[in-house]
Amino acid sequence: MTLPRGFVPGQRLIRTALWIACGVAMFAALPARPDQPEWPCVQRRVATLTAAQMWDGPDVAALTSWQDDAEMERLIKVLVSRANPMENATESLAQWARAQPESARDEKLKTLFAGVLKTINDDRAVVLAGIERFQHRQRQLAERIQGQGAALGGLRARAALDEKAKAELTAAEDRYNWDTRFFAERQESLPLACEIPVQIEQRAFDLAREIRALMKD
Amino acid sequence: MRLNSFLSTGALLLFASTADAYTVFVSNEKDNTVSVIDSTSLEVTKTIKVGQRPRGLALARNGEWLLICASDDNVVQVYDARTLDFVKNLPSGPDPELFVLHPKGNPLYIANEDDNIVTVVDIEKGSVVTEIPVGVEPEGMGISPDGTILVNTSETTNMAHFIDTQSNKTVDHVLVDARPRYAEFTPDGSQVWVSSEIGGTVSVIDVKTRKPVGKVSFQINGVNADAIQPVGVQITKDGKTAFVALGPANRVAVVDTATLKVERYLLVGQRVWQLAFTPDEKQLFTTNGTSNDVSIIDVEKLRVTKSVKVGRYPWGVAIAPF
Repeated sequence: MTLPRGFVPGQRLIRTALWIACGVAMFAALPARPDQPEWPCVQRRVATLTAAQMWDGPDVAALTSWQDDAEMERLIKVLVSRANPMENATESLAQWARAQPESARDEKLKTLFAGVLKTINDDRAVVLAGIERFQHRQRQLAERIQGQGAALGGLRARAALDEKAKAELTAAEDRYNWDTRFFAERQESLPLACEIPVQIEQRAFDLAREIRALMKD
Repeated sequence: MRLNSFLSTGALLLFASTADAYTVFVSNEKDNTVSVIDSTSLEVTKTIKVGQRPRGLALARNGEWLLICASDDNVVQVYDARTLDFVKNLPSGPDPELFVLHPKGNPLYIANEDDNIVTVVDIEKGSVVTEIPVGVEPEGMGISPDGTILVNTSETTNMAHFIDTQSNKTVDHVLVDARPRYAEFTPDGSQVWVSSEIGGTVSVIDVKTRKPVGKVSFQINGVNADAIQPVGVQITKDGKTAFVALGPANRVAVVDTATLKVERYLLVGQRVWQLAFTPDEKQLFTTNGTSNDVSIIDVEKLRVTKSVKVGRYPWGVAIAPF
C-alpha cells in the first residue's frame, strides 16, 4: 500500500474532530438572549425611539401634518440621510428655519421633528428586522453544521470498509467545510450590522438637539 | 453696566480659583483610548492610547494609579494618573469588565465575564491571590465600606452573590430582576443596591439579612419601558440620594433612598451607563455610550450643566482627587 505524501496517521480523524469542535463553538458564538432569541447585538433591542428619549421638548407622536407639506418632506429626507454629513444637514435645517415666519417657527419645528422621528423609526425598523433575519439564518446554519458534524463520525466508520462511503465522506466533508467557512464569514460582519442601529440613533439624537436649539420655547 | 460686568467677571474668577480641580478619566471602548478631562475647565486635556476595549476604570494608591480593564487584552493596565505613563499590567483572568478595589487599597476584585469567576489580584505584587466561582456572566462588583462583604452580580443567572472577603467564598445568593449590571453599597454598609438592565429596576438588599427590602421602579412620560435599562448607580456620602443611569432612556434618575421614589429624571446623552462623583460631590459625570460624550450634572441644583465630547463608546469613568 502506498501512502500519500504528508500522510499522518489519524489525520482525518483529527481534522473531523476539529471541525466538530468548530461547530460546537459556533453555537457559543451566537450571542442571543433567552428573552430576545433572534437579537444578536450586545445592546438590548429597543423597538421604537420616542421623542422623550431625544429631547426635553413636547411629545410629537400625534403630529402628522409634515406629510402634507412637500417642502418639509423633502427636508426630512435630507436630514435623515446618513450619507449626508451632519454639518450639511444642520445648515439645511438652519436655512429652512430662517425662512419660516417667527410666529409659526416653533410649531413648524415640532412638526418637522415628528416627521424626522417617524421616518427614522421606519428606517430603523427595517434594519432591526434585517438583523433578526440574519441571526435567524445563522442559527439555522449553525444547526445544520452541527448535524453535519455529527454525521461525519458515522460516515468515517463506514469509509474504513467501503469505497462508496469513502466518496460520500469526502463530499460530506467538503459541504461541512464550505458551510463552516460561510457561517464564519457571515458572523464576522455581525458587529458592523449591529453598528447601524447605533448610527441611526446617533443621527436622531443629533437632529433632535439641532431642532430643539432652534425653538424658542 | 460696566461695573456690573466687572463684578460678575470678578465673581466668576473667584469661583474658578476656589473650585477644586479634579482629573476625570473616561474609557472609550471602541477607540481603545482614555480621555482625560479637567473638571474645572471641562475640556478634554489629553487622550491616551490604552489596551484593547477599555471598560471598567478605578483609581488606586489614593488616586495615583489609574486601573483600566483592557477587556480584549485580558489584562488590567496600570497607568500613573498624574503623568499618564504606563506602569505595568496586572493579571486579570479572561475578559475583565468591571472591578472594585478593597477599601484598604488592596486587593482588586475583578469580574471575568467569559469565565464565571471573580479574580482576586494583589495589585502591589501583581499576582493572582485566588479565583472565586460565581454565576454566569459576572459583571457588577460592589464592596462594603468595611471591606468584609463583596457583592458580584451575574447577568445570566440574575443573582447577587455575597462573598466573604476573609474566606473568599460565596456565602449567599439573592435573586434579582433580569440582567443585573451594577452593585453599590450605601455608605453605612447596611444596604446594597443592584440594578437590573432588562428588569428595569433596582433591587435594594439588606446586607445583614440578605433579603430584598425594596425595589426602585422607573416610569418616564413618553419613554417606552424597553428603553429604561438601569445600569450605573451612585449614592451620595450622606446616604440620602441615589443616582441611577437608565441606558437608552437617556436619563439619570434621582432617587430618595428613604422612600425609594424617583424625585427627578435628568436628560443626559445617549445610552448613559456609568456614573462618578467628583470627590467634593458637587458634580456627577455620566458616560453616554451612543452620543460619544459625557454629561456633567450639578448635584446640588440637579441640572445638567454641560456635555463634553470624548471618544467612541465611552464606558467607564473615574475621578482622581487632584
